[in-house]
Amino acid sequence: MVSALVPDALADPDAVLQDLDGVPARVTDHFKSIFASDDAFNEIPPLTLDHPPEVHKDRSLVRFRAMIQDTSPSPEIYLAKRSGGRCGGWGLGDDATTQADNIDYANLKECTVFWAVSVPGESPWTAPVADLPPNRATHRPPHPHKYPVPGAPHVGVQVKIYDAGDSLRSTDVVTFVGILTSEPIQADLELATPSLVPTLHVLFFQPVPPTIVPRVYPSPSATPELRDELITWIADEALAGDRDAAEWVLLCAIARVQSRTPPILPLTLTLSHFPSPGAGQTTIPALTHVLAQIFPLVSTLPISLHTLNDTSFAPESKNEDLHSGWLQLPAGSVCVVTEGGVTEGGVFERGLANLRAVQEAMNAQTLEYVFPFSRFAFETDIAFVVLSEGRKSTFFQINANVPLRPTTPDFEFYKSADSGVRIPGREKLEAFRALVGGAKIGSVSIGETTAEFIQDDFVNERKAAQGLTSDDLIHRMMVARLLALSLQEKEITVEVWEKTKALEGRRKARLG
Amino acid sequence: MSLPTVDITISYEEEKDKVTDFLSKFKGQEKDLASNFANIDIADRDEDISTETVPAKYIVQLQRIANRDQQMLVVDLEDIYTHENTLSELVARIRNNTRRYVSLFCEVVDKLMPLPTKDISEHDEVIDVILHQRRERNEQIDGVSPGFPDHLLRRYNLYFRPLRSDIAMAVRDVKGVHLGHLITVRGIVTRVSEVKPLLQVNAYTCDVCGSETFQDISNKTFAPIIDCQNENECRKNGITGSLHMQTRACRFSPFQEVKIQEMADQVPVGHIPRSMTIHVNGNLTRQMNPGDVVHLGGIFLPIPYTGFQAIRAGLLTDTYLEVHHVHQLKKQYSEMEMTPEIERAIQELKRDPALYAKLAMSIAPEIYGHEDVKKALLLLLVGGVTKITGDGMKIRGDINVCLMGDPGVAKSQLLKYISKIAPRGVYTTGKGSSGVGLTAAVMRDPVTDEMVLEGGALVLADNGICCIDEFDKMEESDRTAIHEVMEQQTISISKAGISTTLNARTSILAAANPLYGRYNPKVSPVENINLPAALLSRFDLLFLILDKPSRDEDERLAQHVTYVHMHNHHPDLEFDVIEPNVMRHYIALARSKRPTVPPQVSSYVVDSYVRLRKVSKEEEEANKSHSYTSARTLLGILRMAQALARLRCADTVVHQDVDEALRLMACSKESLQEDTDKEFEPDQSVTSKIFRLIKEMALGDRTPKRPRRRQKRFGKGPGRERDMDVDSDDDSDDEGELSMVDIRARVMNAGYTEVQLMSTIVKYEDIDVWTRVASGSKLRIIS
Repeated sequence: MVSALVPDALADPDAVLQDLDGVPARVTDHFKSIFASDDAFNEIPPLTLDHPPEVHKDRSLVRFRAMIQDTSPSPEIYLAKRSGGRCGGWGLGDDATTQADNIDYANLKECTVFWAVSVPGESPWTAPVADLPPNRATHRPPHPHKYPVPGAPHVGVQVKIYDAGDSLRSTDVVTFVGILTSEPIQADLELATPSLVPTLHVLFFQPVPPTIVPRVYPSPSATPELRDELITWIADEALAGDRDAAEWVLLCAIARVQSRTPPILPLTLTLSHFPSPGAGQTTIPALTHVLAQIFPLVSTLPISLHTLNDTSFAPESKNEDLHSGWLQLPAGSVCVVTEGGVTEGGVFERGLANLRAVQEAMNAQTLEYVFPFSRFAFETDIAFVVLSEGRKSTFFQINANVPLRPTTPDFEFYKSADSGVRIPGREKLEAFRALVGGAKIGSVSIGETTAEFIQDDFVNERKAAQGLTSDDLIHRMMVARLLALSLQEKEITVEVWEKTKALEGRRKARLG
Repeated sequence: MSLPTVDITISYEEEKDKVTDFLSKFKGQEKDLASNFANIDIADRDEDISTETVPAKYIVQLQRIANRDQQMLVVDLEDIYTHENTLSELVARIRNNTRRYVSLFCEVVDKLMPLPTKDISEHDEVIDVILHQRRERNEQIDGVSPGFPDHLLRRYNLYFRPLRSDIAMAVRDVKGVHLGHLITVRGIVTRVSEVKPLLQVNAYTCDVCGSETFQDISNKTFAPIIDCQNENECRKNGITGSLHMQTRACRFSPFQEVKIQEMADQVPVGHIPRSMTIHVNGNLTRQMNPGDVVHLGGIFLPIPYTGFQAIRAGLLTDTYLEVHHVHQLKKQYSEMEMTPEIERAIQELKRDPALYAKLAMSIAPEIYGHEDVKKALLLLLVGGVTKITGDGMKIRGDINVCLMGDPGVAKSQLLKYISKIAPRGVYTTGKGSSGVGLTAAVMRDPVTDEMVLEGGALVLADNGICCIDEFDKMEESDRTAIHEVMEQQTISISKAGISTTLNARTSILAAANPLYGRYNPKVSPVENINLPAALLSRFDLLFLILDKPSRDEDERLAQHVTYVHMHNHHPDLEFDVIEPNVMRHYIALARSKRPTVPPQVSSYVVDSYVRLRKVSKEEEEANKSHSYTSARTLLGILRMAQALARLRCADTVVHQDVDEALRLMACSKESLQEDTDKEFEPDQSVTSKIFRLIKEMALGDRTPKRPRRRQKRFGKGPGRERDMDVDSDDDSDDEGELSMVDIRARVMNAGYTEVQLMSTIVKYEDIDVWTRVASGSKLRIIS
């Protein structure tokens, strides 16, 4: 029976809907059960940049992995029962509304309206498997201001949720399954000729883990040797063979918010003395491509006078419409901030606000969305790696500064995505991904004895050296945690602590 | 969620009778008259009172409407409630079906409307002339008066005012079930459209028969009538006369569309605030500006989509709120809501003898130690009493505190905590994070595009506390402004052609780093502090917090850090923390007191001040002075003593308050001495208090004879016992003898009993701190 249900639902979701009584919870359950198995779920055509809304038939069933961009639109009221007792909602039932007099108010229900965009910074290898041939040229997103990266290709869709939509928040990543059609956007309804936008009437949705692909910690395939290989690979492909810098990048990229009160936030890292792109070169560093091979969510924030003064980093509400900003990124993102594009010139008020937004996101992992007469802080979870040409970051206060020491002469730090980055074998790559994915979700503890050891160590060191503060200890603890995570340890051991101190020592030596 | 339908079994005729009864009989209270008819001129009211009979509240208003002196008729649901004495009858029905009842009330009002009692012809408009002529002509022809639409004849706008008990909802809580109901919504106005005329009755004239046709408009869109509807002429004769619109005879109402948005406290964490469309009609227009925080009472209504929209959208309606009542919240609005639990907690606190210490410890509880600093911050939160003398001079009550110290000693955390707990706390850094800076700036409003004066941190913190981090890195212009704020409590602005003085009645809590970042023990404190004396003297208290390596401290710190990383939460505290919310309420309560200083206490303060001055003078001569005792110090002591009295919720300042203020002052001074590791005993037991009192007497006795010795010590004293008598060691002569008579007098004065005094003396005698000599008539402090 079930086997027949899947093709039926795929072929004509409307017909399946018609047979149901239109109670949202029951619709959700019904469709969820049809597509419960992974195989059935994977049969639903995906809505991605390769398969934009235009290639799908009107009112066809699609799945869309998306980031919620805007939850501010007011809920809509719809007629749940059409003439003749047929099910309404999900874009069905337009005939009844034309004769607006005989409407039974008891049949009015509400649905939640969101704006969702394709996940910013999503690495290509995480793309859902699909049988359809890619076809990307035709799509032009209708509301480009609602995507974090200005001018970047993406899919933006109006989402209508009929069941339990209130739980979703801005920057949540979820997979929606629903019926794709096009409808006017709510705010445009006042206009004489409202423009149509792709609209997804959601049948059910599933949350997506921050690693996109589910991972376990500790990762079974991870060994210290694999970790070394990974570091070497990052060093050779992106950082001119500097293994220490590569290790720091790895530690920084697997960091996440462990706790907000007390704040245990991701480490921020500057790679200083990082060369600027030469004239005519791409401004995207090879590091981004390398990270994108192993991390699921990697974004680049190119800081230049143009991006600072003319774009906004934090989302801003204009005329009751939430415009996106560079930093509206889902939890678990790695953000590579490049300062190489900065030239001489003035930074204006907007630029200052943008810089402050980045700093605030680094220090407190919160991002203030701008609303008229008020600002609201939203929690973020972004790991920042800053690439700076100078001795330290020009704009930001950073936890750890690692001056780059290239060992390979004439290394090309800036490459385009498809050329120049040597990709290890498929299996190796998968193992790398499993390692960092596991580290991203894992947690480590500190044993009593190690804690004791660390305390004594600190007290002794402080006795010996002036200028060692509590901040140094906190910083070192953070690094130790990350190091243990990258080694897939369950606990910080004395050995990890010593390694941390050695790593810190080498970093300090480079600074001096 | 489905929307309930209301089974209407109400006879509207009966309802009309009820409404008539209410409108014609309800008598307002005298108070109502004063408050609700603010526009009635005084002569009228005097008349009312003199006749001793209170006229029906609404009939009086109707008369004024008839006389065209009043346009708004506000029916207060509270009045209907008083009249009917129940909420379930008429009031409930009005609230559930408001639009219907507006027309019902209007019909009744039309009937009750008295004739004007004075000549109103000067108010006549075009429409009156037309109506008048039409009436006359009709009567001449066949005596039939035509039905004019009621709207056209109405000279008033009827509004309902919601019950005072109505809870203001957040935009997101307004659901489909509220359609048609009278609800109250709270929000901030983000956008206001221009006021536009909204057509209510469209008037046409026929070019054949010349008669007027009126069309009631209730929707946003309408189809104009093209053919003459006159039954008597055109219709009868089968002529289709074409109609022309007569703008001058139409009835328009001012109309404004407003957007409101949810406030920060109404939005669940992590959600984006929602907004709502508001329609404002008639006299209520132009009452709101962008940025206002308002309570709006109104009817939640759907707008049916028409034509293309309905077909495409597949949904029925958009919604809006038709406003009936605008309540502007004052800018000082604070979201303090008293609940029974908080009430109980506060009552419990009031009885707690260790209240002062407990409250102080609950300030930033995760920061260990710094008891005296926290006590000072508590007093800063409470504040002294601001006084305005008869000749308009103002004596500042706000207490200013400056924390100075090495990086990483939790100064910023203390500041942030205070800015969060204070009702109007603002946290800012001295560098002035935005263009507005600390004072104010002239900005272009992004919404209205007008030039506006935007207040900086100091203005925003008016009647609150402004926490300025990195005070030393402040810009020069801001520093000058601070001088004014700290004493005069105003900010004078002269920018972009705007010249004004803004109030900045704010306490200042500043944190500063020493010169060159870290405290340099090799140079004097004054050089380390790096702030001009004029600014420093404006701070009532100045604390120096240094980060010195010490085994105990370091170990505790390391333990704390590792604990946090082991368990992802702070270690449990050894004492009960008072919830910030309860604390906020308690402080608000304390701030409502205005304690006075009785004469005997004031003379005590004067004595202490004179003593301090003397000490200061001697220190200065000895070149040991780092601070300066001036008249400001005296005021500072008074302020702190008042704050302490406020904390006790007392109406008078007592000796103890002054003593504690002096102690804090001394602590603040001590911390400036480079050798100070001193931590004052936080012990608040009676014995210790009496001991301290006596010790102070001993000091007070001694100091005039000999300047206090300051010895350089490195590192921290091994224990408390050193701390306690730090000032009396190395001092073995007989000067440390005090007369028991004096002691007794002083201790009794401070409100302790003989028994308490004796037990203190015995206790400390046992540990050889002092001994009684001269057969118990004198007390000698043992070195």
